[in-house]
Amino acid sequence: MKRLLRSRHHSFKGAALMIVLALVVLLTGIALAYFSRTTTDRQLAQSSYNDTSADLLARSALDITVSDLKQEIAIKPVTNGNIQPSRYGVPPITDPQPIPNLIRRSFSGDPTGRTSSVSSGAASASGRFISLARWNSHYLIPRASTTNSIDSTPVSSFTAPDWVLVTPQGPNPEPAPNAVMGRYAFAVYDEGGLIDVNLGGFPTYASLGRPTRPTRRLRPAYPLEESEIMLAACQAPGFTPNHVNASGHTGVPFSLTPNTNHNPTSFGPDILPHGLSVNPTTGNIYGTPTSPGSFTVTLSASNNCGTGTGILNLTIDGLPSPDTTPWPVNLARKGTVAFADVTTLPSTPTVITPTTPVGSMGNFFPTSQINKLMGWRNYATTQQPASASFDNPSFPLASADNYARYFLGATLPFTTGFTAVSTAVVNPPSPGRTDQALMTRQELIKLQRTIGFSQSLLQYLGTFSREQNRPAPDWPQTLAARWDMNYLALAIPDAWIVHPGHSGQGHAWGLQRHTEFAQRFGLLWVNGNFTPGTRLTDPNYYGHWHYIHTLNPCPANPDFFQMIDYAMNQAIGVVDPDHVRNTFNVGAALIDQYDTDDLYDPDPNPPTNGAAGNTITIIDYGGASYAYGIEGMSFDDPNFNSLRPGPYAPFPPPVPATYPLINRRFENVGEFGYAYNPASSTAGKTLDFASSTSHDRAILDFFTYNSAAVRAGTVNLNTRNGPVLASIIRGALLNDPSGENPPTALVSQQDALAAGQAIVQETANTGPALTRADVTRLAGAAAAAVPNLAASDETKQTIARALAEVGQARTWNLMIDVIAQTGKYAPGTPDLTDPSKFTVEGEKRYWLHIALDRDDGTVLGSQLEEVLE
Amino acid sequence: MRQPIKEVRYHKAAFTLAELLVSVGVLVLLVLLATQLLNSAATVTTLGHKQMDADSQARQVLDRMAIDFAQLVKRSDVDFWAKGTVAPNSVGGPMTGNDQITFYGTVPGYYPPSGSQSPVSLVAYRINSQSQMERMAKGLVWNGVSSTDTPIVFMPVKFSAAFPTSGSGSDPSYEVIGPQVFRFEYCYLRTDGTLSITPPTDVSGIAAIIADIAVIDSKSKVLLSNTQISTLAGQLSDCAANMVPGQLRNNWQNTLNANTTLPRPAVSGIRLYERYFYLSPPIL
Repeated sequence: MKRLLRSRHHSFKGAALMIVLALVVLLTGIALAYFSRTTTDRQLAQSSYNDTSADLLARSALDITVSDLKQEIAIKPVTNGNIQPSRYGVPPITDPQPIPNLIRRSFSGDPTGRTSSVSSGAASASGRFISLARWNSHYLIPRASTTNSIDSTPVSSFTAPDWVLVTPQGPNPEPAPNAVMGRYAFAVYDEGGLIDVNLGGFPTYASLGRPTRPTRRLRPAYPLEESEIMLAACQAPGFTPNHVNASGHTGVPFSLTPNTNHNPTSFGPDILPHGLSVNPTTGNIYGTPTSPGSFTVTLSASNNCGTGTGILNLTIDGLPSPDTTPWPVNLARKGTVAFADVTTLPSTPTVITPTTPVGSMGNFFPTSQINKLMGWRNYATTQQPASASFDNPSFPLASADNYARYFLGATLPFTTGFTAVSTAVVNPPSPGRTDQALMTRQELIKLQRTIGFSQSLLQYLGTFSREQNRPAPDWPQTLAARWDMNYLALAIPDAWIVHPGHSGQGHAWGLQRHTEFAQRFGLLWVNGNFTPGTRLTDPNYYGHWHYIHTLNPCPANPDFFQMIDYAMNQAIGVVDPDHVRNTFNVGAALIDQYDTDDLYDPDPNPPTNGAAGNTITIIDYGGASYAYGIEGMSFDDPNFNSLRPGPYAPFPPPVPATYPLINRRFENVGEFGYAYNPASSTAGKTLDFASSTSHDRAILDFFTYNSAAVRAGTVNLNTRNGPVLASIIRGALLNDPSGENPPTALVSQQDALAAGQAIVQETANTGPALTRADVTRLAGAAAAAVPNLAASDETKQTIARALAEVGQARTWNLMIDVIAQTGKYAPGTPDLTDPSKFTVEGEKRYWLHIALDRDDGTVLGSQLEEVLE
Repeated sequence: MRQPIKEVRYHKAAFTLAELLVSVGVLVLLVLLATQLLNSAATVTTLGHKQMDADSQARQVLDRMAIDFAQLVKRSDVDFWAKGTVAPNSVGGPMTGNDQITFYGTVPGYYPPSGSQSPVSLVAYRINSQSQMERMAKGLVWNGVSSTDTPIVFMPVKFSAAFPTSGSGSDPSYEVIGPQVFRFEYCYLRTDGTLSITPPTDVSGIAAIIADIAVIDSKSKVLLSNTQISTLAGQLSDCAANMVPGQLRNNWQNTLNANTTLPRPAVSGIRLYERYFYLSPPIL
């Protein structure tokens, strides 16, 4: 019985023990599960906290860095010494391995006085450190390696930035270790000195020559005795028959090659109905006419014995169809940087100094890579045939105006500056338009990985740029905006759309915006008196303009002539007693060159009545004083109008043979250099945009093609990247192509690189450019270094035409690279000498793209790019 | 022989009736107490779990948002479709009720099966008709890779032209990211320090996006129908122009506290969260 009871007793005890144990296990399990989840949650929360802390620290670091820059901007007046952000922690430009893009980096002893002596290249407690390759993961520093393997390690002249140690009281260069709560290091780069990859570099045509340009008419050729002597020796070509009748239809492609004899070697351009061009080699007249009407075209053919002429009676049926402006003008709307030829960017050597011989540069962008890099970016290239692919784009159409349409994908009128930031809206949006956007630098680097072009080229390419498009405020009179040279279009007759057959009688029709024309130009139209017998002596015989404003003083919103007068006189401190006459001569010359190609109507009057028909711009600026524009031809010029063989109006007086006349709309403000000024000191009597002492230089800062208040795609004139300037210059024309179709007179790659180097030397050694007007100094420096640029007035001004519109000096486009780490030093750490005592808890890296106006510190635009590594 | 039996009976342990009654009473009391304790513990645990469920959901959603907003392409020449945006951006409008937002971000997305992938995606957030938060990450290919897949574009091309279904409709690229998030509202902290329901034209003028979400845990959600949740979401007010930081969340809480039409356990399971997503340094 006792055994039984004992047995039962033990059983109960065991069961109780089991129950207790089970409960304990259960409770432990529940507790563990609870704590496990809590711990995970806590770790997540801690991680989130560290990330947020590092984020706040990095943003604060950016604030501090930007504040430093703004303090520099507060320094006035703007001088050579402070037009650019001060550079520190940077190898000098004379260093064998300069870093052109680097503006500054944090280092112990820098002007901020905040930076510690702890290098970001030193390992922390976890062994982590910021390697040099990581500091250059944006590739803005020249690479040390020339191989194709992925390696961003910079050249040896770059030293890792030092940490700025942050305490609860702010940055401190030598804090107590236990007070440190985080640290950051930074480097600042000149992104404005790069080619904006989103705008620069139009696609290289893989299977075509460069796109054709419209022909222009020659300036009047005056008969010479020599030509008559030569006529006797051999025979000039002629047209057989010398009268050809042909017809076409608007919107339908037209082609005609007249028969000739005596083997002509060239065919002179002539006035052709709008949309048609002539091949100067074959004489083929081709294109798609856009303007209906009956036209009498004088054909000309030449060989070494002389020139023969023929008459083409051309009838174009149909309704007027809209046409684009000449393609270069349309392209310019995208920003003339679109002409930058990035095939001029060398990938070797990776470090280009201002004295690096051009001959040692090589491995330029191959065409195939340009097509991939640039080809898909533009609307032009989205009109692809079915056979095209990402790696094999195709550019099927070479026609000039088609090319322009491709780029813009729109029809007249183009009223919005294409490069305007934020406000650039094409209305309606072009269907199917797919401009490739490289919106972040990391995206550009990813594209490099996809396409496979040289990593070294990334040091020349940026993704963010802005410019405050206004004259420098430190001219004697502050002007709010540059004068929009597109207003010159108001002088263009609109006859073939609105009043067919009635233009050509002076410029009375304009664009039917007479009130605006009077406001912008101060000009009112005066009908001609057509008094018989006075055609050759009285300027009032023809219709002409009358100036209704006064030049001085220059108002806040000046008209065209007031702006020219101010730029050439008061702005630069010149007192010219003949400034009124010179101003109107220059203005009339500009108007006349700009509008000429639109006057295609035949002489509306019978040859015998001697009335009207003049297209020369005549401006009566008061006191019976007249200024005359320079016209490519007059309908009264017997050299061009065989139906009117008599003497023609002697207005204006003949220009010197060296004067380079263009006869089309201007692509950029640099082309104002083609203005004829009888008072000019240059051999060709043009404006002088190629010397530092030029009295015309301020014009470059007061006029603009693209009038958007804030623009993208402009390049810092003071960049230390010679190849960047070279790529822009490479896309410029030494000589206006005239009848040369397609043009071949582009600056050579060698000359462009040499000019870029010369300009960098000029800005680095003599002094940086202060305004766009200083482009004339840079042009002079380039011409002095490159013989081909010094050949003529026109070639000297190539730099002005290339850089004036696309260059800027008053906006700091910077990329700030900041790495911030939160963490703390190990307890008891005596001093900062041992970086391995710092434990990193959170880290954040940002690339801040920012555009700061040098004059007032306005942030014109910014982009914060979080870097994921 | 009878004597020993009596002794056994005499010595056998036994309780009196009173003792039994007392002991049973105590036992009942103890059981009651234990039950109460267990109930309380269960209630506390359930509430804790519900809160943790909501917290987990909120953290997941908010952290995802933090990553996405950090990678938002913050430049003025690309489109940004959000509350109050105006041309040249896509016009977002006032957005009564739940908000939506669409932007370019350099985060991975779901790419087309072929073609070269760019690092950019089109990212969007919205609340669907089932009162669930959805996120879209449409991976974009390089321009020219495909004739059908829209690449990355600058303005003036807008989302509305490039991705017609990015703002609303049944874009298959949307996926549910927060099944318990039924209300999404946001406003802007501008770089000038003001709270606003209309962003500056330039996205870089936004210092932070202040996002508020309402989360209902799964146990509470089963107590309510979709209609009731939608109705409740509609009662939670929108951001207003003159609000101060934290006011919206406070308004929402007051609305929940004043609610008498819905089961209390369900309403008490709703959690409100507010978070600032900084887009750019405040002084810029």
